[in-house]
Amino acid sequence: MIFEELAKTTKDMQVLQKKMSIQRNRDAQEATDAKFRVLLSQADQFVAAIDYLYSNTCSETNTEIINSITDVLNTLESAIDSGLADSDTVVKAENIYKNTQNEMKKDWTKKYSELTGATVSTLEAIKGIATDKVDECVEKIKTASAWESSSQQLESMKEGLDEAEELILSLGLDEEIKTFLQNTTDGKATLKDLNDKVLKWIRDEGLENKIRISFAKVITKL
Amino acid sequence: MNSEIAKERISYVARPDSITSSDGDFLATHVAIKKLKVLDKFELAPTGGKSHTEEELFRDYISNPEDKHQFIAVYGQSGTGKSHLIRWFEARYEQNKPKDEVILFIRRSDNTLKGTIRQLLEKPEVQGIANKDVYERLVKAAISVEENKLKDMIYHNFIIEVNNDNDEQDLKITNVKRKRLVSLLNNEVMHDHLMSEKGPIERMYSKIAEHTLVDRDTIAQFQASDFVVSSELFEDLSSAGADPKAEKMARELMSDEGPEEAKKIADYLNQFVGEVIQRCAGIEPGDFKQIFLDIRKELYRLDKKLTLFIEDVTSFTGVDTALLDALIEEHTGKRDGENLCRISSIIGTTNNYLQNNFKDNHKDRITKYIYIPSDVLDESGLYEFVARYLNTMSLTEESISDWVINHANPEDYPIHDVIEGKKWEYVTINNGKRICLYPFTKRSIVYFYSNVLQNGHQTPRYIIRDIIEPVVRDAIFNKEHFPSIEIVNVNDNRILSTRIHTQISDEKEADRLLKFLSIWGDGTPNQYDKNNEVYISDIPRGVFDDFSLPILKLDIVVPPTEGKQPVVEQPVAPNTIVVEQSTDAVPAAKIKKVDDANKLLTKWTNEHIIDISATVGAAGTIHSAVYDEIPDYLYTAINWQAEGVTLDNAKKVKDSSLLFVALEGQTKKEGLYILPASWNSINIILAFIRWKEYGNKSWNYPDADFDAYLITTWTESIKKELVKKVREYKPGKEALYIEAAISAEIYRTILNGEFREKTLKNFNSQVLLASKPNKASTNSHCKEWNSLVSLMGQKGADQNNQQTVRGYFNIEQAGARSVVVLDAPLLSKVFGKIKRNKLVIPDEDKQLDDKVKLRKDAYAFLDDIVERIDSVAKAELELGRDKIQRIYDAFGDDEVGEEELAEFVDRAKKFFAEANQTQINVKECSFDGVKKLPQIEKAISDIASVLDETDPLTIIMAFSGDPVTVINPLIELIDNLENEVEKAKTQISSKLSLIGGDSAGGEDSGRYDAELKCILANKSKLEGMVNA
Repeated sequence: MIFEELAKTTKDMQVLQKKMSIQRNRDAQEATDAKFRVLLSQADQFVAAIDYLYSNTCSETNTEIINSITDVLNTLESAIDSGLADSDTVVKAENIYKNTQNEMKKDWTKKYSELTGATVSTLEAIKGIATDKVDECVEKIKTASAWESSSQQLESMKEGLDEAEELILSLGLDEEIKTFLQNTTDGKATLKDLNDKVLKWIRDEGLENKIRISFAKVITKL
Repeated sequence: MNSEIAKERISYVARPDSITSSDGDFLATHVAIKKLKVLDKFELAPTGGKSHTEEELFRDYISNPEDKHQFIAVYGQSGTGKSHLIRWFEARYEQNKPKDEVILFIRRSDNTLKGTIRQLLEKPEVQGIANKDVYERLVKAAISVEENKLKDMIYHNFIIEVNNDNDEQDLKITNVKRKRLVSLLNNEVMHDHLMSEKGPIERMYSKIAEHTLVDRDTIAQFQASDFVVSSELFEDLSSAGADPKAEKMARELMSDEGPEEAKKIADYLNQFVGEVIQRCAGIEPGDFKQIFLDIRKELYRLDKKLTLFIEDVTSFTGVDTALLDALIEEHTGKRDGENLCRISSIIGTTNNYLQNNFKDNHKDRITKYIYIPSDVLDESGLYEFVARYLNTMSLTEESISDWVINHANPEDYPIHDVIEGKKWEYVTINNGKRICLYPFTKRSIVYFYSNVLQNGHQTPRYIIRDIIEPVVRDAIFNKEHFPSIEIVNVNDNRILSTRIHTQISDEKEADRLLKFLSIWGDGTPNQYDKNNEVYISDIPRGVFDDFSLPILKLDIVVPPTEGKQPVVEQPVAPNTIVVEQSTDAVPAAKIKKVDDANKLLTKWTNEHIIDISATVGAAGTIHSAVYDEIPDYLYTAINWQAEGVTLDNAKKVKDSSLLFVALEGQTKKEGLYILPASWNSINIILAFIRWKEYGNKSWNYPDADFDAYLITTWTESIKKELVKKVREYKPGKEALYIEAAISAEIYRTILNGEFREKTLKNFNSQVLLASKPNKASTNSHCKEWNSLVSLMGQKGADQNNQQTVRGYFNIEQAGARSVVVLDAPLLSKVFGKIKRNKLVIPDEDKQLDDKVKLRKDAYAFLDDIVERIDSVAKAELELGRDKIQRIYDAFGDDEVGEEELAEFVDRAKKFFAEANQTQINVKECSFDGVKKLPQIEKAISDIASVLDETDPLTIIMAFSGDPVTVINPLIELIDNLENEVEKAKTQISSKLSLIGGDSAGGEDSGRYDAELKCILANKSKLEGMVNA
């Protein structure tokens, strides 16, 4: 029935036309798709990393970072809204991601220090007691010294920290010594903390040359 | 007349060639010639001058009173009596010749060259001449060469002569022309042309070969006409591959100057005739001259003188120059040291021969010319001429011999005892002797001389051959039917004819009497008493008894006064028709025509059967009257319309093979009215013949009023019956061919698409009579439809039928033929009946056996249509059904209106637009044929409306407008679109496979499913982080 055939064939031609158009843009699309997928993968790792971070460490949740990475995800979502990843949108998402990553790196530097500083100082202090174990812990903790959006990095760090705590405890140190070490690690130790027990333990352990005295600076927290 | 003697003697006496009759008969029949002219120089046809009698000429010239050399030429037209005169001179001289005179008389009875020489050698006077044995051997050596070979010899001898012409002849042609002529003569086509039966070679052959039938007037020469090249001859020459030289000459002879050139060639070649003839006859050119010189030497030796009479010098063709040379040589000179005798030559020749064949030096040496005029006999001479022959044949040979032995003195001239014809006219000759003219009257002699002898034949030879001999034979051997010989009757007097036929029932006898009274008498219907004798048509009653002719009573008139003779008094001049109504001037040929027709019609009245199928002769004359004149006359004379017959019907009958009037017993063709085989019918037919022949289809001829009266009264008498028969196709049944013609015409207009409505409701008389030919040169009707239309057009049958319909109802207005008045009531009546019957004429009403073919044609024409119309309708419907089904199928619906059509066209256009964009290679279809969608819708509707119809008329009316042609472009578009769509589909499929087929489009739906899931999961995680 040609009457219907005409209409159907006309439609088929329209489809073909579209497909042909697609065919013509396939390489570019694939590049976009690849970029899209890489970006999404990075974002996914990023989310996984911060999720581990916020879930398994005492690190505070950075809302800005969360918002920022959410923005990346939203942009990626809109990039495939038409059915095909839109190159421009993907680029836009990529830029947002880069910014997020940079922010995260900055934030991490600070957070890493907070998370690992005292422990590492303590470990330095007790290094002479159990050198190998201290080195091993320090090594694991330092894995996460730079933000790499990697959960494994963070897990390694946490493992180092946990092992360091366990090591310190196993040394049987007096509470006052532990406080001193803790304050020293935190930069809060003052001469007042140098009681006899502490001095004795320093002398006994020959740590006199390893402790430096300085004037404390009052820091006002904003 | 003494018929007992004449029966035996007629064959001997009535001989046209004087030489063949005996001396006695010759002298007894001789009529002194009185109008001879004597000239010193040649004139072709001398007029004026003194006339001499033969006796005067004999005395002054022939008898040679001065005993000198002389050469006298006697000339005149063929048959004027040259031979007769020369023979008379010879006979006359024989009776009075001096003792030392030898007379040689050369006849032309053996008219060949050798025959002529043989005649010379047979003369007793030359028995002792020198070389006689040589000459005899020469002439006795029979030519054993076969005919074709001898003719070829003659032909090729001419070529030899031309080839070897060293310009020694008087007439010369240029060297180039001579070569061309040789080439032309050597050409096979020209050879066959000149050797043909009437060609020059045949003429020459007759002069050489012995035992041939010789025409004595034949001149063995070339004529200009022999060399006139017709376009056909030239074409033959050319196509046979003529030599260029021959072709050039042929072209020259075909041109405007051709006849002149042909004459030059003929004259040139004629110079060689003598030499060629002699060579082919085995005689050397000098032989003949030598014979004559030897004769003269011998006579001189014997101390004799020679007088030579040559009847006809044309018999010497081939040696004429040599003969003339011998004759003109005077005895005063010496030849070869020997003396020649004196010679006096009297030679006969025709005007033309003397003019053309005697060289000027011969003409100059002719001593005297004696000219015999053609009309050598005056009226009394003519009577005497006939009378002497009648007298001689009634006399015994002995009585003539006795008279001749006694020196044939005129006063002793014997007159026969009249046994038959005592009451007939007599002619008085010299010495008061009277000869009975039976079976002639003077009037009949003049009539025959004037009307029977052809022009140029009014000479003694033909008077004997064409008048005396046949009439006398008729009178003595066929007395009871005399006159029975065929004679043109120029004295046809209808009143006399009527009188005879009313009184004599026997048509043959009536005809015999009419001929006798018209030719032997004065042809008038008059009789009178004179000297106690009754004269009927100026013939004494007693004469009738001699031939048992019936006696009848005619109009009694006063006898003619003395001095006014019933016969013509003026000398008879050639070609003068002597009829009493001399002022009427009806040509003799026409009178003969009517007379011949009359004879045939008379035979018809006796035998009651007649064949006038021939178109020539007497039957042809009657054929014309019955087939043409009578129908033409009756058609115009009868006011058919007033008699209730349409002019169309009358004309059809007239133009049919059925005659208005046929003759009883006519072998071919029938007629509506049968003219009985009676005398009255003869008069009617003859009146028509005279109207045509005498009056050239007018009444302007003598006694036409009588004919007009006859015809008009006869017309009135047959009119009622004739009109009835024209009106009716069979007794009591009116001819109704117009009904068939109209039915057929309606069918024609429908089939030709001139009327395109679905019913006959609007088929009015205007449609019927107006001409709106369908100009479409092509159509899409089925084969059967077109075959029928073609069949209808065969031999113009459709046009003839249309003409019948258009003309049938016309009423012609007297004097205003251009104004057509329609017989509307009749038209309405007939037309209404046909429409009511839906064009059907029941078989029992069909007049297919109408004898008038033109009327029958209407039924035959309708039958041709009706026989086929059912199959035409079925075939056309099938065709339409197929076509419309195609549309239904294409649309997937059997309701296809303008809206659907428009949508279809729109879709098709979109298809092509999309194909163009998609770069699908399809051929864009034309939409020109589907621009007028309402028309297509109507065409579809027209076909659809009769899909279940069975009535052929309804079907053909639905198809009259050729709806298939209208829908064909749509179907064509559908076909094309289907093709293009198929092509498009293939290309689409192919392209899809090239670009990855379905996967290309199939992944669209899940292309980023995992990614999207990932995004959503992460977002959910992030939300959890925020809310934690």
